Amino acid sequence: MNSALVKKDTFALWKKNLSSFWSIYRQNSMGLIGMVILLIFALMAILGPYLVDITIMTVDGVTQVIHPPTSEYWLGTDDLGKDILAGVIVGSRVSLMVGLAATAISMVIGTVVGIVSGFYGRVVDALLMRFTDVFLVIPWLPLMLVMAALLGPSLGNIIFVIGITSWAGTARIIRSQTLSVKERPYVERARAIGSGDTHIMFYHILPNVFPLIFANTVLVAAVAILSETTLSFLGMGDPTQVTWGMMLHFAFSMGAVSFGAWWWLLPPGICVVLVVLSFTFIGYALDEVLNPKLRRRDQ
Amino acid sequence: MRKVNKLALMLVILLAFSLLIAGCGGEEAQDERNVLRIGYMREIESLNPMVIWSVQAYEVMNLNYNYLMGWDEDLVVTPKLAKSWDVDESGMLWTFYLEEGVTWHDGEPFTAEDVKFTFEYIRDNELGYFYDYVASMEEIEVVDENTVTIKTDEPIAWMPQILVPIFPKHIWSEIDPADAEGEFTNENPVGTGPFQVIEHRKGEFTRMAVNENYFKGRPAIDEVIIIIYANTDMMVEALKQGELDVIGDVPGAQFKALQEVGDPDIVALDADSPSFTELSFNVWEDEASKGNPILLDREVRIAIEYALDRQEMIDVALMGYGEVGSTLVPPLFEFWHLDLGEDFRAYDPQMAVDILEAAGYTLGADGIRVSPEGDPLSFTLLIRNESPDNQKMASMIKDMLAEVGIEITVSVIDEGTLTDRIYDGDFDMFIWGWYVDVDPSSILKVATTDEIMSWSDCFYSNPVYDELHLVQQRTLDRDQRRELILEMQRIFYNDSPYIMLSYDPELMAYRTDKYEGWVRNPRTGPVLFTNIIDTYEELRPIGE
Amino acid sequence: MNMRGYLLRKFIQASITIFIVVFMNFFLFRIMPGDPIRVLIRNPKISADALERVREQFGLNESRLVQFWIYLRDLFSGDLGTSFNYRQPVWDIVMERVPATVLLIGTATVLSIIIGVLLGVIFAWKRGTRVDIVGLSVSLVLYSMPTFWVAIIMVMIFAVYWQIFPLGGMGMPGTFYASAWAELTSQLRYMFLPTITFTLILIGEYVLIMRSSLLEVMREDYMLTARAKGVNNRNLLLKHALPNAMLPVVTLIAINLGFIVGGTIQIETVFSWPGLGRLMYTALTNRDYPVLQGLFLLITIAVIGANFCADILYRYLDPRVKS
Repeated sequence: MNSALVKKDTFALWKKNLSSFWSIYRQNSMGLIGMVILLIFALMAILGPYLVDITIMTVDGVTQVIHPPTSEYWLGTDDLGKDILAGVIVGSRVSLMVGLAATAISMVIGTVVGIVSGFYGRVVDALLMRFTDVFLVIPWLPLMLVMAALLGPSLGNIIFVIGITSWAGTARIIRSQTLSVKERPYVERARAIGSGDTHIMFYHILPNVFPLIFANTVLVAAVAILSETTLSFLGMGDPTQVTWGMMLHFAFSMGAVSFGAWWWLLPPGICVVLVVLSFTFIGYALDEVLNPKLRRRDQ
Repeated sequence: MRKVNKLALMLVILLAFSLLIAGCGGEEAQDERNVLRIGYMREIESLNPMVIWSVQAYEVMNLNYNYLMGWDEDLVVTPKLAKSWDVDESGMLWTFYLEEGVTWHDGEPFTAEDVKFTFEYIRDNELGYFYDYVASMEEIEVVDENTVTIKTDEPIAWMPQILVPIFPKHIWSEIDPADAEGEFTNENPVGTGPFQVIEHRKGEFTRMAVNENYFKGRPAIDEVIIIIYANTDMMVEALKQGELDVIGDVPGAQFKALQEVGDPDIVALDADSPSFTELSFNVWEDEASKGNPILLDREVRIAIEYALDRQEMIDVALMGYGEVGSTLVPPLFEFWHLDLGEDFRAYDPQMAVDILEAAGYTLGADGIRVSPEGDPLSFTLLIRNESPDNQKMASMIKDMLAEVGIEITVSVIDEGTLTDRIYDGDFDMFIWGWYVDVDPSSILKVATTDEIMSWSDCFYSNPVYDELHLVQQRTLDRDQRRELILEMQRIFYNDSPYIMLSYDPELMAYRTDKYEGWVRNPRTGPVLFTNIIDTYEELRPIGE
Repeated sequence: MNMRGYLLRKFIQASITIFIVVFMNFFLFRIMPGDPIRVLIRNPKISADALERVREQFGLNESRLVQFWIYLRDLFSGDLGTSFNYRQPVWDIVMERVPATVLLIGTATVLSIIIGVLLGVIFAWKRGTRVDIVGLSVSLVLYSMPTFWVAIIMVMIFAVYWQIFPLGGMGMPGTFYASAWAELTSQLRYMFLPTITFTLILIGEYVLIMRSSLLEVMREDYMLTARAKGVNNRNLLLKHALPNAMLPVVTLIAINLGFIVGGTIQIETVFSWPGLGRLMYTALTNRDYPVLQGLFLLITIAVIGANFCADILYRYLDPRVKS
């Protein structure tokens, strides 16, 4: 069997998985709602800079400070006279980017650890799983805060910290799936014709655990976005970047609560809730579609 | 179905209960005592004077202990524990005559031995911030119970302003000096001050009870409580609702709101403070410097000053609270402050452009100027993560300098890292501030050559300035010394290693419906949180 | 596997985890950029002697390995180091704050379990109806909200707009109360908002778990048998389904402790509640590394301990494991 043939098989498998997946998924109303909300925010993030006048985000030239919504500023202004609506739109970009990048890191680590652990078993498995347990059990907001504080405030660090602390749940799930996949006949067959370990893991196991990875990604993404917001709120974010978390951080520390400035506190928070909720909805829908028990990562 | 009804019943009970709790407010009994409640945002880190560093911890120390001297509203030195003093012709032998009949909080008598002990204990063990004040004391002698002489190794201009609280010998002589600067908590601090700490809950509050036998007369206040808040909203709201009598450290936005609401019982006080915010350049002319060498050119630094609209920066970043800065000594210290007049480099972007052009920094294709050697005028501005105000200022500086062809990259790091980079000479410029002592000597000293690798943060070095500093330190004549100090400020301003961005205010608010006798000290200064405790001594309930 | 063997294995696992955490905790704090001495000494002007003295006092002059050894040794004698900021033993500082946090977490956990389990049962019982769908959605929304944000909203509504509860804190220090009753109600007023907020945050998950667990149990064979035997609905629920369905809730309480700790940091920050969470927040802003380190270690050990207990409790309670 040459490798081209294997590749063709793999693609066929993916394609089949995808189309059957979609036909079940679209019947799930929760999943569809989630997807629509997410699409709206994705559009907002991509088109954001074309929708709002970016110059409103710079600090000079505005006199209306902490002002309730007007016809000019639909969501009012903050303590520097910046337009909240513009902030929310521009912030969606960084917030989503941080969430997705952190998720990517988390998924890569989780998948590699899970597959390697499940594939090799024995000592490797025992060691990796012990390590995974540590990350599962450590209360991770304190861990993230400590790491963020030690590394210093920057977007890159925030992404790194969230990614590095949130892979454990994924690793466990991928491992158990790997354990069952590796007993399947085609893996045995590939081994018999002398395929290398890396080859088997990449071409035979990965495609089969992929649906799980996909489903888990969605849930991790929700957690990652929540984490970014929380870390930023607690002052660990990059103050030169506009994210929903930073907006809330500034609103709270500049006294939005005592001003009763609801227009400053509500919009970024609602955006976070909507995005997290959409990921959660999609996750629930996927759970029903893909069925194998997904364990949600408990924050 | 019955199950649901039970649940509904439970919810109703819960709701009723919470309404009950909500309705039970204001049942607190009328408190007969006169309690002064102070709200502050930052924690009192310790009661041990040897390790404290924050304004609020100093406030507690200043109430619990006494200095030998104090100041009046004009910052002229006044008696405190020492009722008078004199100095011999050499200017090096000082005699302090102490108040008689003063007792410590525990009833022991206060004597000259305590003064001698305190200064020697600190000098011999090089303790805390106080060491600076006693380092040059060669000999301290007890003449009699109420007289002590101090011989210094050279005439010292700031004498007799020894900012060292006097500690009781019978307590501190038992304390191992290593402990004194270490884990000694000083939980029941015994001093001579008008109040004594009776309860200290870290990060929550500190309660102080009046000293019935205070030697300057018992204050009318029975108890002082400093309450620490984690968020400003709570603090401001507590003042509005009358739970607090005074708050300090109020953020600009909330202060503005307090002013605008105009509650007749609340005074929002925009007081001058002894602090400033500066833009500091790396002017270190040493191989080890990792700063951009273009900034060694004075012309570039002055051009930057001309290009900055500091009033606009204060208006936006500080909500208008603050004053455009000029020289090293803030105008709060009227006597020592140099008024630059015509020489002040006010906002003039055209002038900035002209200076840069004349010095050969021509505009590059990308809008960034290049030096005659071909290097771009592109600098990194370091900002403290701890200060949102500085961050706002930085983004405005970036925009303003872009107008004249200078590129700024803003980088936010935390104070620890910034300190490290400063000591490493690894910076182009940064924004930070200083809190200036009553005597200008210490802030002027920061810019001397000797302080490189110690207090200096711009690595400024000018032999003329250094010489003037040594002379003013030894000049006892106040007017003569003033001339020297003004000259130092002029030299420093001309060389421009700092651009003084703002003289910062102390924003505080207090209620006038319960107590009267709030004293601003100095005249344009705040009512609390200075080294001067007049307010606590003067304050009395209205109508008494 | 017998109970003792199981216990031993779990215990060894937990110990290894704790050791890894101790190890991580030590080295995490040594990789940070910058010299800790600069953070520690806020006075840049300090004589070389004094600097050396402080270095020695905090053990910063030794090699990494020696530092780790000293750290372990101190740890076993209960010494968590000295706070940079307060210059006091970390242990004392942390212990001072424990009661406030336990009070908050305890009350909120109990409330959320009671209400969450009740609601979960109702939703499961009425699955598919409008009650269930609305309840489920609300639970999901609650679960998706950032904790601190809910806290802020609560403050805005109840303390700023309606002004029926205090903005935060645990009471006004130095207040005289007319009676014990007045003091109690005053305390309750201060506790109310933080507790209710915390309960709201926690409740969603209990509802979801209880609901799905109960649904699962009701599908089991023995439930069908019981139903066939004519056991009435009420008895079926109370005597048979509930005890079994409660099992996942037990584990959740332990697993959730990590989440609860995260929540308490946020809630205590917003409400100025003087507990461990606020201590952590101020330690973060002050860069008080020994306090952070000590807090982190103690919290982690508490969570590991709780998980260990839950494992045992689960095994003890679960009839399937027992038989």
